[in-house]
Order: sequence, then C-alpha cells, then structure tokens
Amino acid sequence: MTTESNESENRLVDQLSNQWLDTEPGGSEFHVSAMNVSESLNSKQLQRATDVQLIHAMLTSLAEDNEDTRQYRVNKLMQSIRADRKRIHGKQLTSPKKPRRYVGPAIRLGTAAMIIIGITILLTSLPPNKAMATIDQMISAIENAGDRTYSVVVRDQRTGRRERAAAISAVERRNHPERAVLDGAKLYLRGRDNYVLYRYTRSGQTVVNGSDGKSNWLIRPKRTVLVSSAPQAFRIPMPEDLADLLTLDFGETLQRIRERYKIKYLGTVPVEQDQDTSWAYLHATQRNRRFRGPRVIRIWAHPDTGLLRRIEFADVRLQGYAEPKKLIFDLIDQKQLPNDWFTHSAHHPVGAKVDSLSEY
Amino acid sequence: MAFRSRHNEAQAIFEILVRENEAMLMTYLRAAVHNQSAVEDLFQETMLVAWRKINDYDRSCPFGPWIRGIAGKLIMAHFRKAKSDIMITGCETLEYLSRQIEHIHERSGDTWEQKIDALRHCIEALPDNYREMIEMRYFKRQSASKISEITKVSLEAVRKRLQRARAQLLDCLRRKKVVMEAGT
Repeated sequence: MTTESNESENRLVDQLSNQWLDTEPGGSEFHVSAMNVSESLNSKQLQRATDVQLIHAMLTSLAEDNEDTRQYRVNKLMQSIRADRKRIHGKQLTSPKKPRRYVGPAIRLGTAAMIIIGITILLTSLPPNKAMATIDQMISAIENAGDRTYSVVVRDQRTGRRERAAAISAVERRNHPERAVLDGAKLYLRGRDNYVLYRYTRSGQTVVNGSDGKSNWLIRPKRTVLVSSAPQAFRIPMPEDLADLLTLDFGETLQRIRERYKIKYLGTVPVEQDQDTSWAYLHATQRNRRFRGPRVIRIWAHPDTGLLRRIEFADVRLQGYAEPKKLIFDLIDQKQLPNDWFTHSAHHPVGAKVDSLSEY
Repeated sequence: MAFRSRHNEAQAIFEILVRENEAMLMTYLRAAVHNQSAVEDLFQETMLVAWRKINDYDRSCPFGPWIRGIAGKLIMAHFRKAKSDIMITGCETLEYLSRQIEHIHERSGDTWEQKIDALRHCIEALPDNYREMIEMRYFKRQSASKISEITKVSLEAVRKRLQRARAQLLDCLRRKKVVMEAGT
C-alpha cells in the first residue's frame, strides 16, 4: 500500500517536472502551474523533482557540450575577468589624489624604509617555486628509482573514455593491420636507460623493444631478433606531436618539459581509482609553439619521493586515429624485475635466431 | 611588476580551476534553471563573482561546493526576477542538488564526462521507443511538439515517454550508485 502510494506520488511529481522540462521556455501556462504546484511540494517530493531535473541536466551536458562550446565559455569568462581588471585599475588611476605638498621628508623616508622591509620579508618568506622543485625532485628520483612498470593508455580527448578498436580508422585497419599500437602497451623501466616496451598488434601478436643500456634490441613475431649497439637503433616510433619531447627516459622528458612548458603546482589530489593516496599535481602549458608538443601536459607525482605516478599528454595526434587523443603513462607496479629482464634473451625462446648489427 | 606577475599567475590558476569545474557547474545550473541563455549568463556571473572573491576562498576546502554556494545565491536572485525559469528553489533543495552533484564529482574519472559515463550505458539499456525519444529530444535538440510531428505520435504520448525514460534513467543511475537515493 505504502509502495503504491509512493509510486503514485512519484508519478505525480514526475508529471509535473516533466511538463515543465518539455515545454518551451517563454510564458507558457505550464510554467505557471508548475511553479504554483512546486511551492506546495513536500521535501521528499522536491527531492524527486530535483533528481528528475538532474537527469535532464546530465543529458543536456552529455548531448550539447563539446570541446568548442567549453572553450568558448571559458574564453568569454577570461575576457570578462581581464576587462574587469582593467576597469578596476582604470578606477584607481582616475581617483582623485590628495594634495601632498606638505608631506615631510621624514614621512618619505619612513615610506621608503617600509617598502624595503616589505620587499625583504617577501623575498625571504616566499617558498621556492614548488612546481620547479617538484619537477627537479622527480628527475633526481628517476636516477635512483628501482624497477617500475607503466601501462600505456590512449583515451578520447573529449570524453576521456578508453579508446576501442572501433575508433581506429578504416584506412589504418586496411593498410596496417599488423602495426603494433601504443594503446595497451606496457613499459618496464630501470634507472634512466634500461627499458622494455611490450606492444601488441590488432591480431594479438607481440612486438618487444628494449635496451639494457648498452645495446638496443627488437623482437617481432616470426622474425629474427635484431640487436644493435647503435644508440638510435630500433627507436620506438613516437607520435609526431611528441617526437621532440617524449623519450622512454622519463628523466629526459621531464627535463624538456621543464625547459619548454610553464608549470603550475596545484596541490595534492587523488588519481582516478586510487582515491586513497594524494599525489602532487602539476599542470604544464606550452610556452610557445617553437617546439612540437602537446599544449597541455598533466603530471602526478609522489609528494614526498617525487616518483612519477602518471603523465598525460593532451591533444596528441596518433597514427591511425582521426581525432586527437590523450596519451597516458600510468604507474602500475614497482616490483623488482629479474636481473636479466632488460636483455633480449629474457623475452624470446632459447634458440631463436639473433642478428647482431654493428650499425643499424 | 611583481604584483602583475603574481596577478597573472593567479589568473592562470583560476583558469585551470574554471576548466576543471566548468562541466560540473553547468550541470548544477541546468538542473535548477530551465532557460539555456540564463544558464550561460549565470555560469559567467558565478565564475566572475568567484574570481572577485577568490581571496575569501579557503584553499584547504574543495572548490566545487564553494562555487556552487555562489551559484546557489545567484539562482535565488534570478528566481526573484524570472520565476518561470526556475522550478526548484529554496536553500534546502539547492543544498540537496549540490550534495547529489558532489556525490557524482567524487566518482572516479578525470573529467565530468567520465564521471557520468554510466549515463550512456543507461541510455543504451532503455527500451527502443524511450531511447528514440531521448535521442531526439537531447541529441537532436528537438522540442516535444517537433518530435510529435516527426514521429506522428501524439504530443501527450511523447511527453509521457520522455517522462518514463527519465524515470528509468534515474532508477538506472541509482542502481549504479551514480545518483544517491533520495533522503540519504
């Protein structure tokens, strides 16, 4: 009985709020009646009406907002803020000045002394640039870091959702069915120059690149293992937008970001699923377009040790995708890897054919 | 010179906060205010007031509830001018709406869209005739009367289907714990 009466109460409230939602704004009789009735709703009924309108708002946000509308909205606001500042400054400049004919030398000296003291206090009390200090700490943490495993994820720039195979263009699927992709790859790191990168083709074959710091190597399905001591051998083909910026030596990448980006420290925040830990959060925006690279990079690091937790490159053009994507490296493990993990022999069967190339 | 650079710095940080909270605030405003252009104006006004009062903001507290507090006051002021734009009003109801939004904001996900991603799944799970109505109303931006004209379904039936579709979406989001049960 109570359930039935709840349901009929819900129906009544839904009818009311939906009539209101589905009527064009602008003086319809529905609005007036909705208002009159809404004033007589009890708090439970008002909560129901609010929930229905929240659904409407979520649907509208999902359907109508895109990167362009958001950009326009924020730009418009920032213009107003700048105009507001000018207005306030203008007002200050035009305010009448008091006559200062009788200001004595003692007052002037006193004012000068106060300014000097103020500047001294300001300079001694200002904290060091937290963003730069965090980046420096991260770079030195990499020098001394143990083994780390990162997952590589490609996400849609607009929705932030994980990319699916369907997002890959038909041309790419037709022309490069066996291209190993960055999405879903795993990157193993030791120090600054030992790495192993596992990538997968769309048919599930594995391609492994690696380096033990002395030689670089490449393992492809059903092909000879290639090994070379040439420093540039078998470099991972990075997205064009990131070619000048991203290397698998994250210390080098952070150094480049430090030089070319304006970095803000925005406090400590959790990273997605990992709500229990707060990480130092840095927001880097490109200083100018002289160097190639994404406009925005977001970085999360351990606030005490500087361990890189996540790095996210925005608006990156990746091979095979029509739209710009987010490329994310996410720390997933810190367990110690076997000693020989960064040598090629740990990743192919014993007896596989290996070609050592002196120059490649 | 130093003042100007600190000011620019503050402005840049504020812009980041705006970008990070824009979608959340728009959802809050859209849930309370019917008129789309009024929503856009209230968004601008809220953020501008927030910028002017930024020195009052306690940085140890989250930015979202603070900004919704400002928006709530502006919604109430707007209600006094244009009653037909707003159906829900009053401190208690706006506070309830703010709690619901905060509940969503606390979900995992970097962006607001990620946080409300479950809504897409709920739309996909709707019966065909309800999903069609939602798609036409929101994704094709048709009014109820236009949908009635296109689908040859009576206006009353279109409104009924939209009402039921929203109710099912609400139930679905409650089951997925995106939206809190009323009274919690």
